[in-house]
Amino acid sequence: MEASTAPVVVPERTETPDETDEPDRPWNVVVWNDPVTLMSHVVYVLRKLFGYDEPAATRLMLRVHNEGKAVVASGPREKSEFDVHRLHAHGLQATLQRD
Amino acid sequence: MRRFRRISDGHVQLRLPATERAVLSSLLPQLLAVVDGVEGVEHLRARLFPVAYDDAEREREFQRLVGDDLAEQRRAALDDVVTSLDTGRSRGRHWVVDLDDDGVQSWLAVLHDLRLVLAQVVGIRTEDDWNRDPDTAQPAEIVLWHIGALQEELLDLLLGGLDAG
Repeated sequence: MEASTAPVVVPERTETPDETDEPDRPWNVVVWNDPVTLMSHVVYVLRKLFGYDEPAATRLMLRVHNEGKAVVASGPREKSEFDVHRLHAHGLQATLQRD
Repeated sequence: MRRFRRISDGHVQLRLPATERAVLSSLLPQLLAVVDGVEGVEHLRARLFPVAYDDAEREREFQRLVGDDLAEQRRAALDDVVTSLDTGRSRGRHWVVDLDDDGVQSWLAVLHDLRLVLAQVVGIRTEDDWNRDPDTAQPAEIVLWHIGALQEELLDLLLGGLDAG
């Protein structure tokens, strides 16, 4: 965030500023590599939760494995939070991020 | 010997040597203790409950939203597995139980969670740690490898099911 010289009063917010400013900017659902989760588990969970076919799920799994993370879905905040929650329930490390 | 196999009505049959059933049974209360954050094992809990946001305020909002749901799901899966271990039948030196789709998903979740916890116990921190010789004097390490094989077998079966469907 940019530094500001103006005094800052933080209001009790119900919505975060960037959401108000850019409601259409999607949230990415990011799956992170971890040393314990089986590769086939990642492939299965991605296929089950997101309906990817085998080649697409394998490609994403390999990206997670080789690059440390991969964006597996993106969309409005609420939907992405739901996806992250489901991934957590399946034991994967997942976060929400914006580009 | 295969432990998991699909049976005629679409269910999955699990067949375990009685000793393996006993080992798994003994691990379930320990996993429940981790899920519940019982003192002494609370340091193992975080891996089962990852953060969703870098930003602390957003993370708090997210946690408020999901509440205890993640822990509830894990307790329900554990309950399912405990029940299936109780309801199976002996066949010779083996023990057999038929699992419906929910039962299969609960087994997958519990096997995965057990590995996540056991890997921390034996100190797997990087992928290279898998290349070291397993310490066969450490029961947790043997169990970790064994549960990995079980989970891999179940995943093979489930992935095969997706391709067939």
